Amino acid sequence: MSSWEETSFNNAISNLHAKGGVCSELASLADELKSGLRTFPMNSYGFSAAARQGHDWWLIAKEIFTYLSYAETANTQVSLQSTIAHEMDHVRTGLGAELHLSSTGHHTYYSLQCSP
Amino acid sequence: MRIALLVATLALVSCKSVGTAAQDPDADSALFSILVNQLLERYAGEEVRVDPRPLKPDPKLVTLRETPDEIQDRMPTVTEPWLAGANELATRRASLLSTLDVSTTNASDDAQCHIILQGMEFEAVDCPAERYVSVVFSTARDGSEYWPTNVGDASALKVSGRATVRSIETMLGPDGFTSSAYDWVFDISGSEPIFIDSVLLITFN
Repeated sequence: MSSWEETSFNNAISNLHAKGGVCSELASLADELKSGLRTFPMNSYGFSAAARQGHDWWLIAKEIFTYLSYAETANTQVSLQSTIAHEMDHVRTGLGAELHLSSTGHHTYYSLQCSP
Repeated sequence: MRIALLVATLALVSCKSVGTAAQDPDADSALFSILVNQLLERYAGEEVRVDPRPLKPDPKLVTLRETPDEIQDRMPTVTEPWLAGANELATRRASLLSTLDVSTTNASDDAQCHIILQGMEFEAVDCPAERYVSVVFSTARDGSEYWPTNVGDASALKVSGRATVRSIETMLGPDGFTSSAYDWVFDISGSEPIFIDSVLLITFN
C-alpha cells in the first residue's frame, strides 16, 4: 500500500470500530492482516477484491481506494469500508460465494451492516 | 426425486471401487455424483449449472480468469486449465447431470462476466441476464487439500486413503459475479468414496 492508501485504510478501520459489534471484530481482523494487503488495477482484471483462507495476503483494487475511499457521504454501492468488511467476513466465516446476498458480489450481510 | 435418482446413479457407478485418484471413468463418475449432490445442497434455492468438462487436477488452479501481476507469486494464471483428451469423462459427466436433472453450462464463457468501475459505480460486463451458479470440477488427485504456497504443503499430496477434487464455483447474474475455489476431500480407503469436507481456498468478486 502507498502511504495515502494506508491512511484511507486506517480511516476505514476506525469507522468500522466506531460501528461496534461484528463491524469492530471485522476491523480488528483487517488490522491484523494489514501487512498482507495488496492492491491491483481492477479495470484490467474485472474484479474488485479477494480474500484467501490462510490469512497472509488479500486484495483490494486500487480503484476502490482512489474513487471509493471517501464514499461515506455518497450514495455508492460499495466503499472501501464495506469492501474491507466484506473480505474479512469471508475470512471470518470460511464461506465463499454462498455468503453473498446476491450475485452482485457487492455485499454480504455484514458488509451491508458495516457500510458507512 | 433428485435423491432417488442420485441413489440409483450411485448404485450403478459404485460397483467399481475408487481405490485411487486416477482418472478412471467409473471412479470419476462415483465422485462426480456425490459432488453434484453436495453442490445442490450448498446452493439450495439457486439455479445450478455444471460444466461437464473436467479441469486438470492442478492444485494451482483456482480460477479460469487471468490473475493480476501483483499476485502471480501466490495465485499464478493457469493458461491451460482443461484436461486434454477427456471426452469420455465429459460425456459421462454430462449423462449424470442429465440423470440428476441439472443443466450444463460453459464455464469458460461464464468467466467472461466481469465488473469494472465507472465513476463511482460498478458496471457488469458480459454478464448473463439471468442469475445462476456456474460450477466446474477437476478430476481427482491423490491426497487432501492443497494449494501451493497458500494452503497446506506438498505432503498433502501423499496422504493415503484420500482423494481431492478442485471446484470453481461462480455465482453470476446481471449485476456481476462472485467466484470461489474449493477442495473437496474424500476418504477413498473403503469400497466406496466418502465425502469428508469441502475446504474454501479463495473468494473473489
